[in-house]
Amino acid sequence: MNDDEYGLTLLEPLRGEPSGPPSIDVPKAMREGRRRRGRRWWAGGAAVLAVLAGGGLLLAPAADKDPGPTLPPDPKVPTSCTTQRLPTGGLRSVELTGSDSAGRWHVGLNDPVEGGVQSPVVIWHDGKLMEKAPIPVRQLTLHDINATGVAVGYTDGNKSRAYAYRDGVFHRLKGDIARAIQINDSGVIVGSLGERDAWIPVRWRSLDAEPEPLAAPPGTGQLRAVVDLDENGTVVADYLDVQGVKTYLWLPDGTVREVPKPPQTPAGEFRPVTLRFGWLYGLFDADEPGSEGVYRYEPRSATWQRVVEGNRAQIGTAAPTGWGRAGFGDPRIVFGSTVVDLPHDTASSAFYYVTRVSADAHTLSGYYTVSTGSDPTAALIPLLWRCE
Amino acid sequence: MDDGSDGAYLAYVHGRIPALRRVAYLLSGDETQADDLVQETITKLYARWPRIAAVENIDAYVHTMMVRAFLDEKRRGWWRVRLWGAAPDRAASSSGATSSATDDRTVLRAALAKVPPRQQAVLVLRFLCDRPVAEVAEILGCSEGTVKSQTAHGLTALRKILGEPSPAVRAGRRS
Repeated sequence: MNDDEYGLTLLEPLRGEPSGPPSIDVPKAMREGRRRRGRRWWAGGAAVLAVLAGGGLLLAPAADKDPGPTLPPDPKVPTSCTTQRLPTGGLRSVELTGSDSAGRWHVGLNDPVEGGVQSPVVIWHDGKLMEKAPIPVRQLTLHDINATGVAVGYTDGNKSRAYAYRDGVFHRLKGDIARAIQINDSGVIVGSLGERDAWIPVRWRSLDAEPEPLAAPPGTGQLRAVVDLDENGTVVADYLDVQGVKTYLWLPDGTVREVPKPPQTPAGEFRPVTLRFGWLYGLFDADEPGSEGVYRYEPRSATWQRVVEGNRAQIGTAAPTGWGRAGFGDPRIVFGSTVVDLPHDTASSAFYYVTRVSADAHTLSGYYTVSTGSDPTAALIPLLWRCE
Repeated sequence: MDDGSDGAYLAYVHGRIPALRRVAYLLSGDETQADDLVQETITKLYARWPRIAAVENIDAYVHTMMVRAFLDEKRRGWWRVRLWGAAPDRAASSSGATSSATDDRTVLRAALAKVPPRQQAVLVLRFLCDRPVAEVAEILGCSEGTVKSQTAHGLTALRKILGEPSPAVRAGRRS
């Protein structure tokens, strides 16, 4: 049996038609489409000058006459990493969904296929299991945790509710339909508020605070996702617009900045993934082959670098979206501007997912799955890589 | 397409909604999300209609927009919804042969949801929508070679997640 025959046979049970009545609204599409016609895609500002630096493409404003902007230093690239399997307290399958900036606290979820719609959340500290807490509502996933062990998340479904978990207690965050996506060590939480096509990015300054809208420039389109929150308060989110995706940064000084498309790239979309090491990392998905890859953007100097060609390497990413957390049999990770192969079990058919890289680049968190040959729901095994 | 008018748009969209909805459903495995994908696609289509009404292969263009919308939605965690859907309290509510088939589909959908998004799109377009390699390449904006490699990677990933034996072993077992 070749790949084609196998694929047809394997996926055959999924063939089918939607059975319910359609809820597609053509007049609404025309109204919204007409509104989008009025906008213009950001056309780019200053001309750019490309120079090669350290094997990556460095693009700096042409007006700069000095040797170039001062960029954040890259972390030291580790020379060796070891793996540590995290304890699960008897749970067979646990997905590690988020970690704090220092790489000491981690949060995960018992695989719903095993644990049911009220699967317990799991919390680790320094490699030890701290909590195995049943969730109070259905379909709640905690997506991030901070240095004091406070975790945040939301329920899946059309009417998401935002929750935090602190000292063994779940707290419902204020706001009706809301998603809490990231929390930093200062206790600031970011997420979104609204429903369906009307989500807005918001910030909770504490667990008891009302959500505050993060003001976006007019004409930003439809919020796609709040992606990440940096320790300095920077927030990144992206929006869908007529021409694709726009990325915005809310900076600590209160300003909001649109992130342009990487210069000298063809049509395509830049998808933000994470804030790390002073940069915004993301994937550029080109309409034509050749320019796709991992890029990073430094907001202060508006500098772009292409750090990985192609989409093979995965990068440490915030857990809420899962984007950029594609799994591989041979996990690789970007440390600053360098791609490092992570140790893995080459003898088994394990498949690795990296969820987060710590700010000091010494700890990576994630999970792997192993084919057992008999169990249709392969277990997720939470894992740390300790790097020096 | 004759022009960029609303009439031409309406004629095109009304004729394509059933097919678009079917592809969206096969991609997402969820009727609500399928309708959302179609809604977003036809909205984008209207916004661009004056410029693209004369595009030669507008169907491929529209499918490209929808696959991109699907990949975007992956970021919102819909894959997890399918895992929740496979959770025991729902699966336990069915019975008999029908429940077994339903459970198989649910488990397979949950496994497919764990495959990297682009590979999912390739697998669905090729094996559920029966699109040839060249057409999938056009929809995804990549080479035919990339579609083939993504097919192989996607099947390998799915096989690992499901704990399936290799196709050769599988064929031997069935014969």
